[in-house]
Amino acid sequence: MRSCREIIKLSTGKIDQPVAWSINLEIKLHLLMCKKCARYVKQVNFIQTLLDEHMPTPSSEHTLSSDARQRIGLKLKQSDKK
Amino acid sequence: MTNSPENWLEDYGDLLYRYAFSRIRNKEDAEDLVQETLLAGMIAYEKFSGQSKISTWLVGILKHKILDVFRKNKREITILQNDETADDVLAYQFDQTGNWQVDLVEWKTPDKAIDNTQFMQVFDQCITRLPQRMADLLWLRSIEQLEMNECQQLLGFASDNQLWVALSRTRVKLRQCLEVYWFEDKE
Repeated sequence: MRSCREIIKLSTGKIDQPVAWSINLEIKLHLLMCKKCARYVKQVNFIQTLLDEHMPTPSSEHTLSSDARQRIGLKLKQSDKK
Repeated sequence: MTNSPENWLEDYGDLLYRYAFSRIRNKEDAEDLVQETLLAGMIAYEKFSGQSKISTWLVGILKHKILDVFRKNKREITILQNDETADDVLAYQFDQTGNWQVDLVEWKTPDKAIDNTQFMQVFDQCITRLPQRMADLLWLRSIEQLEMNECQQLLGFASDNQLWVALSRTRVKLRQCLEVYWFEDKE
């Protein structure tokens, strides 16, 4: 019988790599019996949902500095003349 | 004329900079990327089909530029990855027999947290605290939805296992961060 550590490794790993149906069944049976593992897997799945559906968008507090804007503007003009 | 190249810096400079900075996290490099993107856009403008917005098109160019940065940096990343194994990721939580040795707080109503602005700010902060390579991985997998083998090549991971380790470690770190800064606090 696999340990909790092995079950967690397999069940979190299958987010990225599918596992054989027999291992999947073993994971499901373990999670039915083990409260801690079930809790952990539920939390990791929640994080995956956050990553898949709610990744933060770039913050609006970052803006180009006036120096950078001037420098880039100059470079673009030079390039345009060529 | 609106949307003509001479207005791009004014109209899209901040948008491109924010995007680049969120990925690269370095002011000077992000500024360079904005410049390179606008220059590349000016050269390629004749080929622009007009089927998408200019901003979307320019962000598309920027993404390619960012991926080039990843490619250039991958040798360094590979060296950093070599000393980790899949088991290290989970080690601290289990004893030698593989049983849990830490308490796990139950996260109450996590689904409701998604609608909470403060929670999403904490989540944002947790992502910002991640090491750069982990954030890069999340971006490629979750936003760009690249396949595992593409991520492996782009970021220079030597094996599938190393990539798996990095992804697992990223989720473990995010879980810890959310637990400490949100869920433990709310119990």
